[in-house]
Amino acid sequence: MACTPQRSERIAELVGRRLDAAATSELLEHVESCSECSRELDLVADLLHAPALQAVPAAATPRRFALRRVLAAGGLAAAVLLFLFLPTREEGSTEGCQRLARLAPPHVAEVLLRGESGGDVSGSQAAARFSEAMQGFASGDYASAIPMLEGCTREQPSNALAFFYLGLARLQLGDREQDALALEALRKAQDLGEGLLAEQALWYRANAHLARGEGEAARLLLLEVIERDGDFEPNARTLLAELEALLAR
Amino acid sequence: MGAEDQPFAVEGGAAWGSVLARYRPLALRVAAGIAAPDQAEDLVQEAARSILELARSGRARCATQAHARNYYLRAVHNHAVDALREAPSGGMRSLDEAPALEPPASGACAPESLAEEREFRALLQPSLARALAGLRTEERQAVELRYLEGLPFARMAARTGASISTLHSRVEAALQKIRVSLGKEGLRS
Repeated sequence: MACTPQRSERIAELVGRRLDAAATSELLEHVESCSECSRELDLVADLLHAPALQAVPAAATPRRFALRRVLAAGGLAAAVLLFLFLPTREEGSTEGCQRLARLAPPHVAEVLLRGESGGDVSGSQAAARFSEAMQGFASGDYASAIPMLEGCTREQPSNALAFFYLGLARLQLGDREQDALALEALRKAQDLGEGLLAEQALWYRANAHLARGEGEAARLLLLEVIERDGDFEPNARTLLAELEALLAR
Repeated sequence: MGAEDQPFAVEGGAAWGSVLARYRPLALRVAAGIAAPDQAEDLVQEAARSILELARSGRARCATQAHARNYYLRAVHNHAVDALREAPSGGMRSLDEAPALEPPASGACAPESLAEEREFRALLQPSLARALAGLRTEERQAVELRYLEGLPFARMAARTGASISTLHSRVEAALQKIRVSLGKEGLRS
């Protein structure tokens, strides 16, 4: 396995086409000197040649399990039940949206690990708390980082960075309730932040909606990113094109 | 010594051809993550062509296959970043987050042909199929979610209903079985 859980995540994200240029650059630099990660990358590179891997069916969900039983039963009743249990177009695009979501967090800058974030964090105690939270975040310990970041936002209700990373940390946990809370935090970060931070928060809001299977909501936010014409504009255009192709099916 | 640490021979096209063949699917994923997915194929081919041009100018060998892999992936990364810069929309405004990577200090690698890719796949795929056939269904599923979709463990847990620690175990077990299976066939150490 890779040298740390976070590195392992990065390799999986690279393979899943979810790493942007900066994170890819950082990972490729790392594998130059890390034999563990280098070996994991090699194994994964070989795995990608397996056509069988592409053909593995998705997990049996309760609906699909019911489907197999119905098929085994046979007959008209089965045909009717089959119709009822077939995935709807909406479910198909829900899963499709989820596949499009780009949730990989950005690389955490050193200044944030030291608790320094310009005017957002003031006072040595608040800076120390923010530093601890960001170290948890950077090491992939999102469950620990979340309560600390929540504390930061309570102490400093105008701390856009804390809201931003709180939203990202919640997104990494991957359940519906956390995704809803992530959206709230990212919205707050966008409202409080400026420039690149606000744009980045908007970008992740769009991807959070994709993770929830909410294609139309994501589409509207991606249009907003494009309209801002900032650093994320090319990424938003690309993602929007993929989303619109999915929604048109 | 692991396969990735073995000295990398550059005599003839086979050695470089095998590197490009082995890492091409990974290179496509690197490109697709940075630029538009429909550009990935072109970007990877451009990177391979760039490497071929260096070969014609007689550059030195790479010390290890891992070194050659990194060089190839860096070339793909740089081509993808360039493609983003040149996007009709105006491209990236700030490249502070995506600096171009420097080539390896010990000199470029010298490929000669990509002809071995089909041969490489023909050799590897049956072995991979056997390795994957040796996995339990849930282990194969875990590998697919992890490396086909690139999901973090938390999302895999939400998708499958299994706990994160269970999924960790499944992926680790699956990778170990694959390593052992490929190792028995002489494909990995």
